[in-house]
Amino acid sequence: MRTPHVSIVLAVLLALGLFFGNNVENGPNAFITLGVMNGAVYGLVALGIVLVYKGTRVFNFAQGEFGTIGAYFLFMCLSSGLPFWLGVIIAIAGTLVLGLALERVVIRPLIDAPRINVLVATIAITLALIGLEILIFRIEPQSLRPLMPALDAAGNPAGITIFELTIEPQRLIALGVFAALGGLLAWFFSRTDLGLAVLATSQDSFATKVVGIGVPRMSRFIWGVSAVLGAVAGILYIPLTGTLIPAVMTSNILIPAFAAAVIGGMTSLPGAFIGGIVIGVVQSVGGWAGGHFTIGDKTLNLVVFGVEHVMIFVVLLVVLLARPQGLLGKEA
Amino acid sequence: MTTAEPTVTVPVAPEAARWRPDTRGWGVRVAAIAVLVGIVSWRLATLEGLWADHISQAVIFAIIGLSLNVILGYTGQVSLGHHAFVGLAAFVAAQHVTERAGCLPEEGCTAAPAGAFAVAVALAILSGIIASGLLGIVALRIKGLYLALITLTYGFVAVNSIFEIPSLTRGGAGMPAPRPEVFLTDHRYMVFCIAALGVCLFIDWRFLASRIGRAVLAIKNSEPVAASYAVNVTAYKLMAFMLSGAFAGLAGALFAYRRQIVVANDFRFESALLWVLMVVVGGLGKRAGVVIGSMFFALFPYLIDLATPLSDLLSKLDRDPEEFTLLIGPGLALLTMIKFPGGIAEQIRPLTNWFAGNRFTMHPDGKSRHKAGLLSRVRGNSTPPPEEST
Amino acid sequence: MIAVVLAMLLVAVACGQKDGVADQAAGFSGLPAGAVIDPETGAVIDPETGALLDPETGEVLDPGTTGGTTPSGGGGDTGGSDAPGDPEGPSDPGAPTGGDTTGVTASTIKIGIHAPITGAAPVPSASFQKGKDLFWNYLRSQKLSINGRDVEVVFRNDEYNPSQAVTACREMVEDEHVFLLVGVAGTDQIQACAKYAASVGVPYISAGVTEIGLETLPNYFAIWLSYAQQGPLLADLLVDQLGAAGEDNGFVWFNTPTFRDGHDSFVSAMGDKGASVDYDKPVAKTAGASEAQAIATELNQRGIENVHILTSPTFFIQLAQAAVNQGYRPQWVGYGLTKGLDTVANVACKNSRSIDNARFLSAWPAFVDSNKYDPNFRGSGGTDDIMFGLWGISKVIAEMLKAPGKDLSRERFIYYNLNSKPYKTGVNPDVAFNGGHLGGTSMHLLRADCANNRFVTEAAFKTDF
Repeated sequence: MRTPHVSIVLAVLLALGLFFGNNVENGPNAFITLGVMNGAVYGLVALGIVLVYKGTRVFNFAQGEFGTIGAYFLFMCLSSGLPFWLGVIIAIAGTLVLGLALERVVIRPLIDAPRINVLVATIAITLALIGLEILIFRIEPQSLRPLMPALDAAGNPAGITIFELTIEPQRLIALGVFAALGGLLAWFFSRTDLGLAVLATSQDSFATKVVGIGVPRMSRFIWGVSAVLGAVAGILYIPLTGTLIPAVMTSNILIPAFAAAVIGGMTSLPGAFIGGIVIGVVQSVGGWAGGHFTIGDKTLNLVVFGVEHVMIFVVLLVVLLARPQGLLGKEA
Repeated sequence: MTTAEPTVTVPVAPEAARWRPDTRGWGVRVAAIAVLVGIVSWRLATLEGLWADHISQAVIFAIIGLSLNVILGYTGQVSLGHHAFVGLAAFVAAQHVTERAGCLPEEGCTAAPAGAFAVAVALAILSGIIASGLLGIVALRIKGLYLALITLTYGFVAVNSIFEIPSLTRGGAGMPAPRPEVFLTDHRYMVFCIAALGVCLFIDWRFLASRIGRAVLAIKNSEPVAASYAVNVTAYKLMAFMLSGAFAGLAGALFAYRRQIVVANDFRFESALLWVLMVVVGGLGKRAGVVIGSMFFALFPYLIDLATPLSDLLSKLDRDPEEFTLLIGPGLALLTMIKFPGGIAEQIRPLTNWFAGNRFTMHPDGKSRHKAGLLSRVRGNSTPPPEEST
Repeated sequence: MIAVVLAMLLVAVACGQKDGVADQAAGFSGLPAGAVIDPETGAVIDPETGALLDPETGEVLDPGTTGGTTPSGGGGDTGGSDAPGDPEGPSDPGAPTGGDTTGVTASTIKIGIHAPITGAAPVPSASFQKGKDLFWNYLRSQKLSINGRDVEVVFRNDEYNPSQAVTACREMVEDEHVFLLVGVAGTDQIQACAKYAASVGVPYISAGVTEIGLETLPNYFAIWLSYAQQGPLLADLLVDQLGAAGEDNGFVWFNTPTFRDGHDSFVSAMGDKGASVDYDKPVAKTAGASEAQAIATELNQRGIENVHILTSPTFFIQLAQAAVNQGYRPQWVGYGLTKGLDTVANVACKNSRSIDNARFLSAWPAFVDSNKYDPNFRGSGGTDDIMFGLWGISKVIAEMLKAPGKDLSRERFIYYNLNSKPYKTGVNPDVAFNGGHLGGTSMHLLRADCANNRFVTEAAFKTDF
């Protein structure tokens, strides 16, 4: 119920920021836009994290690496000369199979173990996936094709300019995909029997077992969907960075995505959406403020390293200490 | 080991009811330990090439393992940011010797003054205690799994911000950390590291056997119950975190002087995750298992190098043994969790039990495995834990 | 594998036994370093520049053609001359005799190279492994040798990490007993390893990079221009060729004290040329894509037109990508080394053309032009620019190892190289130590050609622009 309110407040704040930032030289506007765009990717990964948490009450630290693996699948397909769309389908399918296999081999045997065991298991999965990537592809950066290039054939920018920042087509696609998937999942959990069953499983696995809903089936479903979400995020995000390297999603996206999920209270899909935008903007504006200060007509380069990470840490700490249930969640 | 399942109540194990070996039995045990110690010391004394350095690394890993073991095994929480604690301590140790005590290698200083070295190690331990204490305060307010998230994020902040402060770390070039004259050779340094590990093991043992240690375990099993027994949950948890921080700080100092240069790149989030897994593989809460597991994780690439056919195969494939660490480590951890709960400690329990003066039996508890989860297994605290008899 | 080792051993033994053959293969004993006899005129010439050389001193008779850009097709050390010479090498009364001969046997010299093949800025492992032996294999195939000795190369990965670099170098010194160490990429690693080498008295040949803490080391030999020396060269390029004087210029560099001299020399050189550095930004060495985005946005916002980039190639690609995402395409320039590699162009150009026309100084010409500078390279199986760079380095090292003559020891190696004639090898810029430790004299200039996913040589052997 609170989702619309928070969204409206957020939108008003953003609008105010953009309005007042408009006339400032080297102002934050471009960074706000950038933050919103990054937030879309954070939100997409956060969706997967929230989904696994909703279904199994587990923090899935492997969510980021699903993206890197998906991107590497696509890279392999493209290297072997397959058309792009086929490569995307194979990459998503491959990650889906991987997610299902991991669920069967690792998660299912631990289904009755303490939650912290499963958390450690997802860490092990993350590291194993990173290890596999390093072993096969080495740490040399590779190039992954975007859905649409940032420059058109003539070498001119193909994107559109929003608030002083040119946004390339790939980012706009990411935003659209993110909104579509978020809406789809929200609909799924609130309107379909399966979705409600998944939620029921997460509330009390023993009770649902008694009632007759198969816990393994739910677990399989959830891990499959989150693997697909991860792969989509990887395929959309990695071309934006220009470098496909092992662990890229874990080191760049996982923590902001978790922070986004926490802001949303870990269980709220719209919360993950808003959390993603918030984290994206906070991080980006933090980078702007850490980058330079303007005093009078003199611009100082303030050297604070890793401002982007500090901002997330602070947000995470404040939210967890002050409001552990998140801005939108019902319970911690 | 008569206590089968861990309980919250202070257990009483009547001495009379326990089986004890006779004089000859003790003799055999002492002799076995003596032979073992003898062989190991002889091997250590005759190490060649860089093996002394490798052993130092393994010992440092073991101390890191013990540090994580306090948080994971005793308090039952997860720290994914241990690389930040170890790294901060390493930089503090290095910075004290070079920048503050003035032993600058670029000005021809080859050996640190012994006094400055001692102070540096103490400062490193202090930095570990402070950082970990702060984490403990946060941990007390944040429930369960969220601590994993906070520590992971803190790790990224430390690596990207704190470790980039030029006066502390000299940016990417790294802070030199010259050793003192006494430990200049790798062999001597290794002895120093082993001694430090011994101290840590002793402190860990005494800690767990103390009131605080028992209280911490009680809190882990059930916080409300412990609180109802008038256990000061907050203070004891904090103490456990600070002990962990002290170990991490010591490990950091040893880390710095081992390579005599510290760089931010040494502390990646992958290492922190790997350290958690090595404790799991060793066996949570079990000192001997954790030490063995950690050492295995550290030495694994070098052991592959020893197995010539394997290393030949790898070089033919153009692969470095180290690249397999991130595959083998998690693999072992998953195997441990799914098939062999209790880790290495569980596998060597018949042996450690025998050393501690019990009958040799394959199933010391009279039960087979699969009886407890990863973290629910707590040592019985009626008797000194078996492995301390060495 | 074993077969290769056996073959190498056989060749080594063969070379060692046939001293006469090796000594007759000229260019190695009698003539000035790198010089050949022109088969038509009989004159002693520099094979690359075609310049006439003084047969005794090796000095270029016509100074106007020094470091010229008119390479002849002639190869490096293949000239078949039987000029008489002293096979025992130079005889300098002031030179030390005897000394430390670790790593030198009657038939082989063992040298050690460290480089990152993993870590934040790795060089492709396969080309490196092949490239490090390419020139020495070629010598063997031509029945040439270093005063009767064969060169064996051992390699260790430094993981782009200074502390690992020290370990790698220690392994090569203590376990492999190499004669000298070579560092070809990674400033912090080179600095750490060179200091270690100095502490154990091992000669260290390095790829220029920083001067801080290195230029005074007695065992240190930089065979390329250091970053501090490249600063004025790059300012020249920016102002005189790219019109940077009236434009906004930026400088993005990794926050490491070893880049300090390279940073300061560039900024002051720009000032001397009347150009300003309007955006001067240190970046954490651990920075990733999110930092790259923020910096690209700032650069874009301030309308910086030329950006000097002194970071790892990976961060450079991320920054260039983040810039092109915003439709922002500055002129990228930078010091020599890893950013000018074809692999960088391949990744950054393939899907986004983000670094098109980026210009980097380099210590070797682009691979595509390699035949112009040394046709033997491709003939010996060289297939990329990393191998070409290693080929160039190996040629310099060969000259340096030859300098003390047959009686090779670490002390004599250091003495004779400090006081050597310039080494002209045609691939690597000429090297002249003149009693100091920084031997670089000029640089090549590469330009990213994104239409073909590669770098091309825009200018060669440049001392100014």
